[in-house]
Amino acid sequence: MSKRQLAMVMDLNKCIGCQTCTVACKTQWTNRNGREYMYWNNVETQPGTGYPKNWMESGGGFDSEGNLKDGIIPDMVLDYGVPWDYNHDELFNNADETVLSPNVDPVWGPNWDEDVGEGDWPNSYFFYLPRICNHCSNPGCLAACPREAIFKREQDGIVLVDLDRCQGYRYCIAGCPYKKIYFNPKISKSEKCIFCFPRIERGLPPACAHQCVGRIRFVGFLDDEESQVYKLVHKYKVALPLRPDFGTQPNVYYVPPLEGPPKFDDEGKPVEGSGRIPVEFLEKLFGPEVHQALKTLKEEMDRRKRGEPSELMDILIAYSHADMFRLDENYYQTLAKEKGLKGTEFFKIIDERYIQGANTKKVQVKQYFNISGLKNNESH
Amino acid sequence: MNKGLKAGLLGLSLVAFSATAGEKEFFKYEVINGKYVEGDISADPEDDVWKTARGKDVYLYPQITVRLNDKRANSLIPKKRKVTARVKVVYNSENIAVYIRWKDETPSIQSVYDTDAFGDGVSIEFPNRFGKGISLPYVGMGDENHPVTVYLQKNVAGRDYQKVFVSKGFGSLTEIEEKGIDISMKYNKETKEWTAVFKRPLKTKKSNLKSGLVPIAFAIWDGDQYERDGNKVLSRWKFIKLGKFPINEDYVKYISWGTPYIDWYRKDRKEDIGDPIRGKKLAIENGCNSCHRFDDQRTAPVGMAPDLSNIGVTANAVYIKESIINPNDVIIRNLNINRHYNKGAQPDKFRAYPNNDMYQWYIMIDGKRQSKMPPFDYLSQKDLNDIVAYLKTLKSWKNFK
Repeated sequence: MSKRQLAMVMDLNKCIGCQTCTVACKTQWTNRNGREYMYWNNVETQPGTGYPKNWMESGGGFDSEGNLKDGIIPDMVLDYGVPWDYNHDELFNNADETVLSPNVDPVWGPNWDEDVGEGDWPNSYFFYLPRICNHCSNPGCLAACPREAIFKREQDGIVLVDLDRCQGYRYCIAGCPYKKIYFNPKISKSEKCIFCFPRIERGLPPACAHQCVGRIRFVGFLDDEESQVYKLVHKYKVALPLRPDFGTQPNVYYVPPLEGPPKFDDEGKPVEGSGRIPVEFLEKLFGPEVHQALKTLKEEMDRRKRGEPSELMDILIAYSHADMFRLDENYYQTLAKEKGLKGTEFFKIIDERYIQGANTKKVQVKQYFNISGLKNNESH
Repeated sequence: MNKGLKAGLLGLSLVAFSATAGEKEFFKYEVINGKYVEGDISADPEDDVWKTARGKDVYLYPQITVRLNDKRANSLIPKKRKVTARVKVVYNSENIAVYIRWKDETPSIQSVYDTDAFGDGVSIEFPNRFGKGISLPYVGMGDENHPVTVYLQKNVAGRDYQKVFVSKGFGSLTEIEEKGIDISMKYNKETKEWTAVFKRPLKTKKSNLKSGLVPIAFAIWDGDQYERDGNKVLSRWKFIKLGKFPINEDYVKYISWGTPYIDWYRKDRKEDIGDPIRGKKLAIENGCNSCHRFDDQRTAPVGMAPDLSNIGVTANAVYIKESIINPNDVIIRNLNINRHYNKGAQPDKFRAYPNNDMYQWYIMIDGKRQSKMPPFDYLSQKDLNDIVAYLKTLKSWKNFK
């Protein structure tokens, strides 16, 4: 459907559930204007109900013949969960007689079952699953819209809602099997993760990826053979789509978590060679490819333990933050090197290749942020 | 003044002319008489003028020709009941107002802090061009050859939600601005009825209603049943009689074709257009069930062609006839062909599968869209009448899944 496709890979072995990505996205896009209940990026605990509640059983996606399946639209209070406030002011003014309590009676929240997981102590288990819109190759939302108000950009495969065309019918929400498109009741239209396309167009990765403390997110183009995402998805095949059985061909991939700490036996001793996360559960989430992905990961980890070089480990360890993002075949990094920019200064670069179009006069580039060293109208 | 007199005379002469029982039935059941008034018309549903117009009942039926993907909305369709709306029309020399009143036990509003709440709504639809020599548009938002203008009123919290659209088939609605439009909707808590009034100039840039018989169609949404867009109840084309303007006899003959309809409850009717039992046999023999689903014929894949299970009440007889002998006249682009992709084909380098052409309702020939349905213009008049008579008996949506 598109000429090029951006992809993101998340290494679930490193996600610590700190929610920095959630806050990055929330403060950038969804802290206002009717989007307050939306978490375009959310980090949920798996096994768990997820956000929105039971999204995996909410329909959407395509059946085995490629036809769109029916789905439901989640309820604000029961499924998404309405964020609540606490009585901090009251508490700080009258600590002796006040108990910290929410200002409403909560029924459900966006991360209600955090850290609950499954299994019996001492062998309980869970892992964190950060999720964004997958910018699928056969999107369920795009297919469901009767007005074709959702489109997929040719130049990078980002799926966007045309808010001029959207009439708020919400069939897209029923059509997305990941429930990553949301209804904004204030403007009566549907909105979703935009893969921070204004940042992408300037060579910056999405906010969630850039802010990730644990360095779990890689961003790049799938047809760029030097990119980390290409190597993880196609070369080493350790990065897998989430719920491939939904049939939408998602472009956000996950490196599955190895089976976690070993099980404890009845005497409290660790059982050698055991793991807690059942591989059947991982197979349900990531498909049958998960077995060989886990095998490859273990092999490469063993290689590194023996002191041998391992490209896969080098990529996943992510020694350098800037090396995790490769937008447009390293155009920005290359240009930064040419100009002698150091470190994060490379983000100052503006892609000037497309500034003059066939039918437009030269566009004047504005400097929106003033980083030391560059005067206001100085161009690169 | 002179023109008005002439028109009046013509109207009178028509009554003397309409010898066929069919045309009499047509005027009785399918035509709403507009009431001419001097002076201004208001869009207020409680205005006194509405007490002076009798109007007629119009029946609206669930839209099941096309299937959408909202699980909850779909689950409520088999048990839906037809909606009876009382429609009244009032006009003066410049403007026309259409009043529509229907019962709704549960007034629904699209609230500001809810994701799955839908508001009640109503809309009326006029073809942009109509009259002698022009076939009827597809009643569900028009089609490529027959653009329509749609006036919509919805119950949305915090704002006036009135929109005017031009459409050439569902999915193509484009909002436009028209001057002199006034729409309002009120709920009566005692009678549990909504009343809406649509006022518009008789002549706008897109359509001219200064004619003796004006086609009009209605749609109503019940927010409580997750209704919006294609999940709704709709009427077939009805006609407003504006006595001040001339009625074209040929047009009456054309749009009244097929009345009286066979009514299973009134077996004494002798002037049916055809034999529905033979018609069903012919429909199966001619392979209609290979693409269309209707009645107990449910082998065609869902979405391949419009579902005809209630076509008897949602389409006019002449429209059904034309759809059989000249399907190219009414081409609808599709309900988003991306809903069916072809798993058997090769995916592209980003694993995207192409769309499944089997579900596309048209083919492109020389840059023009041609309906995939072949014209059945070789059928004899008797065969055609029988098939139409059969299709006119289809009024069920209980088998909808």
